[in-house]
Amino acid sequence: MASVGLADPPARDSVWSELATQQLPIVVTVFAAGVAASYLQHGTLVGAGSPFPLAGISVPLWHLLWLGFWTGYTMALVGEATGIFSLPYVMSILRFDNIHVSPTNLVITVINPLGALLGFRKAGQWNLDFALWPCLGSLLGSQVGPFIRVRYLSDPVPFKALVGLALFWLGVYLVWSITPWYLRGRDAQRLFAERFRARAREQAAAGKLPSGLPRDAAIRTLERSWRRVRIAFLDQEWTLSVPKLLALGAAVGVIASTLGVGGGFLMTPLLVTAFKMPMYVIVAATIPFVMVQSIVGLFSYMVVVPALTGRYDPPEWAFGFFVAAPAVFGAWLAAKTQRFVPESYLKLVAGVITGVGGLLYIVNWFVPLPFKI
Amino acid sequence: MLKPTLIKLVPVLPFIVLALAAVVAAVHVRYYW
Repeated sequence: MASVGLADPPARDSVWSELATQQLPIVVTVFAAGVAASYLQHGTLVGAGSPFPLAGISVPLWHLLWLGFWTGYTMALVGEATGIFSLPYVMSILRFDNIHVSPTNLVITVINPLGALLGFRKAGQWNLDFALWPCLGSLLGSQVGPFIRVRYLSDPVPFKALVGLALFWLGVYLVWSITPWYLRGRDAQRLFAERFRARAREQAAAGKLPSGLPRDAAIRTLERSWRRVRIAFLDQEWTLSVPKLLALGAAVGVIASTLGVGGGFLMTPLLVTAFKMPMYVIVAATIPFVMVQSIVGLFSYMVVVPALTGRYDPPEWAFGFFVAAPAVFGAWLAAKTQRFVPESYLKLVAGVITGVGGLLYIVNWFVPLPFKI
Repeated sequence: MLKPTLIKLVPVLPFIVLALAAVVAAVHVRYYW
C-alpha cells in the first residue's frame, strides 16, 4: 500500500465526501459486524466488561479500536498493512497468543485493505491480469500454512520466533529501503518518481492541483498468456513470467497463512526486486493478493483443517472486526496525508521497532528472556 | 488559526501516534497483566 501518496491529490470537498460516502460506511459496517459477531459467537458484547473467551484475555473495546487505528495508520504510511504490526502487539501486549490469534489476525487483514482497494481502483491502480496469478498461487499456498501452524507451531514460543523472523525481515527492509544503496539500484522507481515530481511541478505552475499523474492514467494489459503477462503504465512496460508470479503467490501464501498475516510485507519487496516495478503499479497485485490470501487462509483454518485433522480453531470474530474497522480509517488517513509526512524518518523508526521486536522473539526461542514477551 | 496548527501537526502526527501507542501499551501492561 506504499504508493498511496502517488494517487491524485483530490479536491478539498471530495476528500470529505470520499470519507463520508466511501470510507465511513465501511468502518461503521465492520464495527456493526463486530457487535453482531460478538452476540452470535458469545451471546454478549465482549470487550465491554466481558473477556474474549477464545482469546482468553480481557481488554477494553476502546483499546482494540485504538490498536486498529494506530497500526492501520502508521503501517499504511510506510507501505504495509495492519496485520504484521497488530499480530506482535496482540500477542505480546494483549497476551492473546494461542492458535486462535492467527485466524483472528486474518479477519483483520481481509478487511484492512478494503478502503485502499476502492481508492486504488478509482485511481487506475488496478489490473486483474497482473493480480490474477499471485492470487491463484495463494489458493494453493494458503491452504498449507494453517496445517503447519496447527501441527508444528501451536506452541507460542516457536511461533513467536517465526513471527520474529518475519518482523526482523520487515525491519531490515524498511531501513534498507531508505538507504542510497537501495535507491541507486532501483532505476525504474527513480525514473517514475522523477517524472511524477516533474509533472506535479508543471501542474502546480499552471495553477492546478499538483497531481503527478494524468487523470486517465491506468495500468494496461498489452499481452497475456499462460507463460507471460505484459503490462504498461504511462510509457513504461514490464514483462512478467506467469510461473514466477504463481510460485511467488504460493510461497508467500504458505508463510503468510501460517503466521496469520496478509503477506504484503513479503510480496511487495519480492515483486520490487524480481520485476523492478514502481510501488504505484505493484499495489495493483499486492492488495488483491492480501485479501484473497487472507480469505483462503481463513477458509483453511475453519473448514479444511478441521475436516482433515478434526481440530477446529475459529477466529475471535468480534476481536478481528473491532480492530479492522478503525484500521480502514487509519489506512485512509495515511493515504491522504502521506505526502506531508517525512517518510524516511518514519521508516527508520518503524523499521527499528519491528526489527528489534523480531530479534527479541528470535532470541527468546534460543534463550528465554528474563521478561515476558 | 486551526488550519496552520493542523498543517504543522500532520508531519509529526505519526510520531505522536506511536508515542501514544507506547503509553497505552505500558498502561495495559501495568493494569491488565
